[in-house]
Amino acid sequence: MSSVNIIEIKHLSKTFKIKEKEKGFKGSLKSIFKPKYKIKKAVNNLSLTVEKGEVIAFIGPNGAGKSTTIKMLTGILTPTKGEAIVAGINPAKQRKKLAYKIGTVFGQKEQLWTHLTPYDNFKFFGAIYDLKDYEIERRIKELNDTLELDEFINTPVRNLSLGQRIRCEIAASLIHKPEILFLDEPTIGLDPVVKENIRVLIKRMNKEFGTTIFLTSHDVGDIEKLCKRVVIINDGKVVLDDTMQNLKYNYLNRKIIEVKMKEKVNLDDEDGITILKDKEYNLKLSIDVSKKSVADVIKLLNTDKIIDINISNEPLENIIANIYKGSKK
Amino acid sequence: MLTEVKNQFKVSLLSIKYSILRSMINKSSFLFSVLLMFISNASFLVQWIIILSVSDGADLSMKQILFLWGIMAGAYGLSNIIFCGVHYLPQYIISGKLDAYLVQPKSVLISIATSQTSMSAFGDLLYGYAVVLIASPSVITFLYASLFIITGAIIYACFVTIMYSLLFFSINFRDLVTTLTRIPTSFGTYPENIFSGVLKVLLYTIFPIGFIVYLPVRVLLTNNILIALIVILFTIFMVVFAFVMFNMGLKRYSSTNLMNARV
Repeated sequence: MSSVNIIEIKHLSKTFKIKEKEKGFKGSLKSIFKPKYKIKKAVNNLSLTVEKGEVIAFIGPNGAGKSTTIKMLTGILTPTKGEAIVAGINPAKQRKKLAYKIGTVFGQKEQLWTHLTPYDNFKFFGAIYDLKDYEIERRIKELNDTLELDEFINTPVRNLSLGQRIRCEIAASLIHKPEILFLDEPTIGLDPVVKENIRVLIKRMNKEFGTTIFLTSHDVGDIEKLCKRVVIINDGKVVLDDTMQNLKYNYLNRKIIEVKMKEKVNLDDEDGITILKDKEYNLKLSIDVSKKSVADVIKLLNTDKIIDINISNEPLENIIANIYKGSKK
Repeated sequence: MLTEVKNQFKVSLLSIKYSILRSMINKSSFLFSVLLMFISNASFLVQWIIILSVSDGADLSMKQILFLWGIMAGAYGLSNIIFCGVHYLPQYIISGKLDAYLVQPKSVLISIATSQTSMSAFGDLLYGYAVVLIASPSVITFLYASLFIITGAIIYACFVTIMYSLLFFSINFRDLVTTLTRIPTSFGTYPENIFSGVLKVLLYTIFPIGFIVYLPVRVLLTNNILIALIVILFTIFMVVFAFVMFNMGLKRYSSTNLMNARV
């Protein structure tokens, strides 16, 4: 089966001119008469393709260029260099045309009118996308069924919980059946139960409507549970582009061993073993399995003296953090 | 093209409707604001009654003052009912709130302009009509007043848009630009006759008070259709200029990642 690229990014760059000011009142005066500027490369020669129907995690540390990239892909910002084609459209040249094909949810910025009910908001958003009244009604019913909004669809948005608001934000961004949904930190500030509900909804949208999902998040749970592909960027460049499966396989060279001993064991850091915690009879070790096998470490601890043991993979969070650090070097 | 304009108009009307509904959520607060604005404007007229009674007032008449106040208050009121959102542009530009509008398939400027309304502006508009009709209670005065209240509202909103579009180029001008946007309302309630020289030139160019209120008052006093036509042409020019300036600035918009809510 042939694949179709819905997003094509070629050598995309964005630089910002930032005014620098020396400290104090004197510095403020000096900056008026002799301003100094610094050029910040937020996105640096970034190239990437995304296939139709993919769920992609686009992640990186703060200031890596994630949001700037999304803003260029949605037509909010104009690239300094390079080009992006989203759903066959250049966002910098045809912003309005592109808007009919994409949906956006910015977890940190609300798009809904807070004094209106979700229903009235959906009617308004439907009108923005030139939908006819009967089309809007039909779409609201569909979204209501999929996103389970019935309970609060007629309650003013300002009276909704954060989780309910985000569900409504997602529904509003889907009113015009977009081909691609850009989600920038959609689960920020939500409790674990609501986060899980939002993830289920995003998955369902991808399956039921075939919507391509372009997700940025600092929440590893979002990435692990939703995305099959991970793109990590740092300093405006792609530092890793791989499947979630490969990411785990290639970078899971560490195991975490937690043991409860009958008596205190004196163990020192050595090649392949890092002591994370040593408190009375409890030990937490990080093992580099390329240098030391788990069996060797257990032997070292003396199996007769072990009361309880737990061996787990290193959390994905740590793996990603290590990739961030590695790319910095 | 025609469908696009029709759809934009439909969305703008819906946006104005929702903005007005928001301002009317608290009915007693709304009515009180309208009434207070009406009384506040009326107090300035008392001032003019006193001035005209003690001065010769060779070139001034109470009718002229009433027209002046009527058109200015009406235009200011209508502008702040329909296009109040333009006053929020600095906040939108600086805090990155334009993002929500840029991902929609409609004009960013019109969407922002129609997204807010001012409660007290209803008082200004009512007061404007009341004062003009007290000065000359006739159908022709009502029609002319309506025309100039609309053109004045558009010119004023465009002027504010042009001023605030400068913030795309440097946000350091925020306080200066905000002060400049208040000039039309300060000068617009004084008769044209008292200004001369460079100041008068400024009032017909950079600060287009002449076209918002002075020329309309002349039409109301002299029934000169040619002047009315000049006002209409200038309104069209201001609309084009405001869109050009805003769109030029929009290309320099850099957004931010500050947390925001649309309230």
